[in-house]
Amino acid sequence: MTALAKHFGQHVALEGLSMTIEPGEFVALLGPSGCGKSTTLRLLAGFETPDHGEIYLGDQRLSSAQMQVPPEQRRMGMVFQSYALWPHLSVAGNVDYPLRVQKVASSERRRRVEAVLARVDMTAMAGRYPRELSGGQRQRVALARCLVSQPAVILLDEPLANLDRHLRASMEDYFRDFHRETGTTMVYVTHDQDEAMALADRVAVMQAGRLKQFATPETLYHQPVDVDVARFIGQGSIVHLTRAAAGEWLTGSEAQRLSDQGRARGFVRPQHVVTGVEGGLPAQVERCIFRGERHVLSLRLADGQSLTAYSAAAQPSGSRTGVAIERLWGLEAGEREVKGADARASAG
Amino acid sequence: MAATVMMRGLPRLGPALLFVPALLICLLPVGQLLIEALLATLAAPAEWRDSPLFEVLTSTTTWRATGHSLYTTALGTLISVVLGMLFAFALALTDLRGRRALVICFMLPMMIPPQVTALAWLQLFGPASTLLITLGIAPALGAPQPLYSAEGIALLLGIQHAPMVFLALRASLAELPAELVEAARLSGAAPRTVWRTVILPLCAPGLIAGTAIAAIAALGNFGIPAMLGIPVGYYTLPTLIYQQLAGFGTGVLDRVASLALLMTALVGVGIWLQHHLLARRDYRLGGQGARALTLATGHWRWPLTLMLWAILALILVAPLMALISTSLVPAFGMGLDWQHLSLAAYQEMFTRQAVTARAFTNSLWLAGSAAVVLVALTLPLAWQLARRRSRVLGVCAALFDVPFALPGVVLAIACIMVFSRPLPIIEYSLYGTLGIIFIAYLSRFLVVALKPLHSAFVQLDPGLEEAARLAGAGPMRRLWDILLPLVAPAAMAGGLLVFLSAVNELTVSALLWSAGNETLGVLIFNLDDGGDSVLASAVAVVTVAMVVALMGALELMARRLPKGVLPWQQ
Repeated sequence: MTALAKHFGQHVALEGLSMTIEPGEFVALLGPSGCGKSTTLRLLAGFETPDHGEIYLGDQRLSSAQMQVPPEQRRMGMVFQSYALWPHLSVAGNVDYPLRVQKVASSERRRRVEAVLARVDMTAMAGRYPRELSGGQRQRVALARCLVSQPAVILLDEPLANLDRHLRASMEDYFRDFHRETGTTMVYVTHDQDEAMALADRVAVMQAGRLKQFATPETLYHQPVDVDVARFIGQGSIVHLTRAAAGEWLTGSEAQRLSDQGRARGFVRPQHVVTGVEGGLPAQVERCIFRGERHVLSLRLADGQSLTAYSAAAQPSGSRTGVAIERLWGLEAGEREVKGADARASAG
Repeated sequence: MAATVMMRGLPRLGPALLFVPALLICLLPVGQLLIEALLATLAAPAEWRDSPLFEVLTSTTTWRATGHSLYTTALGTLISVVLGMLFAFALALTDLRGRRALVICFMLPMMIPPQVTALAWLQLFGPASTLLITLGIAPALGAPQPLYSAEGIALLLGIQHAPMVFLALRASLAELPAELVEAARLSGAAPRTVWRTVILPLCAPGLIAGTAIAAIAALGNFGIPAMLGIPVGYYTLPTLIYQQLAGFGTGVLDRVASLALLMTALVGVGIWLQHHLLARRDYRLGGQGARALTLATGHWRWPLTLMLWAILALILVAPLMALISTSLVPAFGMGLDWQHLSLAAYQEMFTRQAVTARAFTNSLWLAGSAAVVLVALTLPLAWQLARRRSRVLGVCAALFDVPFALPGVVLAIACIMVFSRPLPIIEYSLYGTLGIIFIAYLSRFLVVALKPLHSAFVQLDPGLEEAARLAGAGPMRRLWDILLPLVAPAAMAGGLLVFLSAVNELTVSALLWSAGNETLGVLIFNLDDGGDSVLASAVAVVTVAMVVALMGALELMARRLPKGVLPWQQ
């Protein structure tokens, strides 16, 4: 898709979004609610029409400002947040429906429904109705229903949002295995960064209708593009630097040049902060929280900036220590930060 | 490629074109009325003193009838408010036993057609009352019938429309979270202070809305003032229109159109007043999911329950008993005893009288086909209305309300104005046929069919339809395979509600009927007018039985209906 834009009245839902998804890739659209990720998914499915931009599936143009391929002809499958199982049809009836509409011969239909129900371990439930199923079972029926017509792309709209934590973890594994075995292209919308990082080949972080960064989970974690992405992914500290270093690693003495006067920003992971260093940056321990395998320290530097660090041993709050930073990732200024000023931002 | 791709403009418009016939049915008559009446005045401004509007507005008959209308409406609405408040507070806020039965019985007067209510009450009082004679407490012959008076009209209007106040108020009370009262008590307010400072102010919107609905309904009511006022020459605006049209024919169409315009203006003032009063009173908090407020009645429980049942016995059971007993005597004015119990009236109704059989056939046929046509028409309308958040469609939805909100006589006059001339091209006049009544019913009851379907579609997860789209199903396929089975109960309920309203309808058909085209409502009115109270009562009893049976049928499917479809349910 290129330069997609969608406006709802005055409200800009999506602006200048361009991305290319490879066949067989598992992509997560990640962002806070209202960032435009669901709108993107609905544009892909064809439920919304873009104001600008185009969507291609392979060589076929699906959407542009002039023309639309209707959803029923797009070869896309979707798992809805509410699952959207038809309550008046049985499990088999739900899965069979796309084939029935596409006028597939009935012997072929029976074979494919059986195969796909076996694929999601729901063969025993074929005669049940959606109201008789648990959340996880409904989820699997919804998946089977979109698999049965062998779509080119499967769209998933926060599919785990309505499940409890335990079931979430097992469905996460299920999706991962499923993707590995079928090799279907999947686009997965979520607001949970852990879920996105755990599942996707690549994650698209979105904010306020714009694509911020589109990269592998590792790159996102270690090399967030700007302050907003760093803050959203979390688990680290954003610090002010004396010199701009956007998009590069700083190590050694370069990494120690923090100053609340600096306009440039950097991102420090707690595992890269070493405490108890003689001659290091002077810092005071503000809080020390026990997290089982380690202690998490909140440190305050002399110039007022804060840092998060790990420590094997507890350190009483109020105690002083010397800090060294092993490596630091330079950030571009986030949009909201252009105005500057507000210091002491810390995430994680 | 071209076959697989829809151009952008078309899919947006396609199904929405269905709104055109619906709007035509709803707005053509009423629009025509307004335009013609205004044009008649404006076309010749020099002779404005000769215009029918001026003539009507300067006539003392008009203002006497307006005065009567306002007096009976005001007094009737007061009675509605008192009764409605009593039942709403007692049934929505307390822990009384048997509240469901009380609600259904209290709602019944609204579902019984006004001409039947009036007939039943007439059988309850007066020297010829079968019930009073049987009980030996009838007044002496020649004593006046107390209901033939302004106050009698007001009393019946009050009872007929009390359920409207009740419903609106109960809706307000149901949203009142118990925490608000508990917080007030903890702040140090005594129970009486809580009522004055928390409960009453918070249910004011419901009370205002209910009062407005009841007042507008009372103003437009035809059956009650026709049965109780016309015999003694007491005319309200609707009965004045009826009397002029019945007496002078369509020659006075300009004059009655002006009267209809005057009524429309009065309704407009009422609606404006309601909006003005409600404007700064939107207290909805939304999405709290809190416990509903329930007050313990303690040792007042039984006295209160008894009082409510006693009131119902008086306003519902007694008139119905009077109606039934009149229908069972061999001749009007006799008492009821086991030797003389007679089903002659019922026999006559179904076998001997051609006019009764015809009226039954006409009404059942009209109501049945109106129900079927309206459900078929509103099904796609409701679907589009729920799916597209378009301003234009929102305005259309509001316009569908107009023929239902306006008094029935206004709609009837409007239909006469449009259809008294032969239709263009086919040169066929609907006036004087059942066709004109049928079109008036379509116009009036469209919204009755639309509302349940609309709320069913709104409560349906849009994903269900989108999933079917992705499965490859086109619009008609989706409507048939997915949506129709899911909204079928609501469609059924809408159809039954249309049938229930249309089969007993009097106001519109009273002005549009002609010999051979009587409806049930007209039949009861004419029989009573001609002095045949026994046969009229028998027909009325059958009518009430039909209402109760239909309500029972709807009650049976209540569990499968979207919330708010059945008027007598929460």
